[in-house]
Amino acid sequence: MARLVYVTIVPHDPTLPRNVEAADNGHPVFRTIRTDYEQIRAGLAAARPDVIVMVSGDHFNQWFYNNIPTFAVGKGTKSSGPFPWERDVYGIGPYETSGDHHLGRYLLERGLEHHFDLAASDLYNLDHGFTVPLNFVRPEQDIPIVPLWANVLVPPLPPGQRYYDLGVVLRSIIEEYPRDLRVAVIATGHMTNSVGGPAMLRVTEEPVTEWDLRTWELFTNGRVKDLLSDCTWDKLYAQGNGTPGFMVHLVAWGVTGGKVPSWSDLTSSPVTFPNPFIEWDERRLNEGARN
Amino acid sequence: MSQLGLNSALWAIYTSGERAELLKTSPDALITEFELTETERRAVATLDLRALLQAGAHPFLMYKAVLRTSGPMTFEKLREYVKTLEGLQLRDIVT
Repeated sequence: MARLVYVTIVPHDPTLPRNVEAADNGHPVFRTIRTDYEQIRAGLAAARPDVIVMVSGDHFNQWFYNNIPTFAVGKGTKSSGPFPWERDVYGIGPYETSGDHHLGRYLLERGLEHHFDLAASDLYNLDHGFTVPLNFVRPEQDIPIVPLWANVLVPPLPPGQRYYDLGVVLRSIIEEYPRDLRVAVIATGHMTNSVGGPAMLRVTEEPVTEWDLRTWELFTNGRVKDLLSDCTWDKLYAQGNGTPGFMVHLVAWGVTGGKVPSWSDLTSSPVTFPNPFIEWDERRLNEGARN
Repeated sequence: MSQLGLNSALWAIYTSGERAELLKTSPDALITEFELTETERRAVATLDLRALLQAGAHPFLMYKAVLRTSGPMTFEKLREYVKTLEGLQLRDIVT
């Protein structure tokens, strides 16, 4: 049977590659972000995963208004990106690795049995939500990626409990998978975030908000029930038009059963949105009973 | 009101350098491809962010279209972008 060996939450802001690369001459927060990505890169390497299931929102690249799946799994043999127009506007680099058709198909089939009617794709590209974190934490591009898209951008969205429940089911399916594989889960979303909306520069005056601090406190202390009721599109959207991206974190949280992380850091500064870094190592994930 | 038309036009500009160029050189030719009201046509043709937000365009797509047409974002450009939206609130963006 497969074993869950690592879960992490990392940011995917497409401006981070350029800013982290120039960190030594830029704002100090980018040196902290570089160190945090290195922490996750080392943790992921130490976990020795055979495959990574990666959860992200899409940003109008793979999906558009002709087809917006709430949750979808990629079961192709190739996982690569980003899209050419993202490379144009952000100047971000490519990422190319394989998919895992067998595991993707298993997630789809078992998800259906567990009442999660996932959409599925055999032919897809990964947008910056996937490729930016992957280039930081696994630049070797040598581990198969099974993408799991969670819509966090195009309302209506289900309530946060559904994202959490998807994580719980994902954990079960991984542990039922009849192959001797070590599986890591990477999730990437947002804390407060405004891209394109009127509050886009609020971060310059309020680098971290009361919402961020309360949410981080509850999240990193495993207080699932206290937080989930506040996770709806309307409540998160009110914190910034990109803040519903927090929903992706709930999938990772469900995978861990709401466990307290092994390590975490939340960066804040007036030059970039708050960036969350969290990891749960193999021991933490597999010790004791889950919530 | 045609939020789908607005978002489709913004997406076309974001994903295509040719379309972004067409917006600059011949905006009327670009906007005929999309189902828009006359007010919305003007908003797209001039990338009037204030009008676009008020008409229900997705803020993320507005920003992407600006990224494509204005080149790499600087703090000064960002300040200008936000200034045009001053006093506005987010609205329902369900299409």
